[in-house]
Amino acid sequence: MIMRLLDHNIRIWGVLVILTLASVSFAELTNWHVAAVVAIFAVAVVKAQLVAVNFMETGHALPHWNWLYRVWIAAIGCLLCGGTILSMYR
Amino acid sequence: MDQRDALKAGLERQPGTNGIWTFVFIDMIVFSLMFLVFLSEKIRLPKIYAAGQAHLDFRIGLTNTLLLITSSLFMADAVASTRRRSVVAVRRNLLACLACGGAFCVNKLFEYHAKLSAGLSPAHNSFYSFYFFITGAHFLHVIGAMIFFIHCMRQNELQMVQPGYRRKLENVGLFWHFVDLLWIFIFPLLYLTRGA
Repeated sequence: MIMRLLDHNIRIWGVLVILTLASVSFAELTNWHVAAVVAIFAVAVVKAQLVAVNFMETGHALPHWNWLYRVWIAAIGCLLCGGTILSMYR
Repeated sequence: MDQRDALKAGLERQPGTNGIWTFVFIDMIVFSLMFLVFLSEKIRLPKIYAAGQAHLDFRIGLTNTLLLITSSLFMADAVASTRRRSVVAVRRNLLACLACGGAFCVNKLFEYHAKLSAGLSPAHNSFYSFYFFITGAHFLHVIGAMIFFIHCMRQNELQMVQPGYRRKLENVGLFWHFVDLLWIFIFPLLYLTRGA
């Protein structure tokens, strides 16, 4: 059981590393446009959700914490993405 | 099972105490406000922010991201190890977390030194005020968590198999994962959206 848990955590870590490198490649290899910003912050939201669910174990917390934490991650991702896009059109 | 029993069972199953979940959530709100003000200034002064972000080296941010993600893995394993009462594995994982946190701090201080040496202090412009404020607040969180790592590592073997220790380590772990969570958003906000 513990070995399965460790394997699971290592798999999550691998996905986080791949997503991090993907977001860097979005930033470095694409011309700057709205789609690149959306992709970068979408990746950040997915990474944050993975950390919350698998490492923070929000699923085992009281339901309101699980809900609040996961909504915060989605909300902050939208806020940062929206603000960055708005700054591009100023 | 009435509502009170259900709540008690939920609290026992929950990793960490209710207090740490509340504390971390309040911290989330504080950082949200910092991000909100940063973005409002970025929208107001886009050229200054674009120029400031162009001076940031994404490789330093990437290294720090990988260090924090890796330390989160070690912390998750430390918590799993304390549940199976493996004192050696807990100590080994906490030491690895401490090493990753230490490397993060060295990297960050190196970056601060490079900026300050180039005359880019918090007083330089609005971007650098926020850069130092946001990353500085995050840096203090890293230092705070590392102090708790040392505290948890200094407990003797008898203390480390007590249920209270498991709770304590879960609290520290939750806080450390939150530090990682914050950096997951700070990294693209400051280092990756340089062209925006």
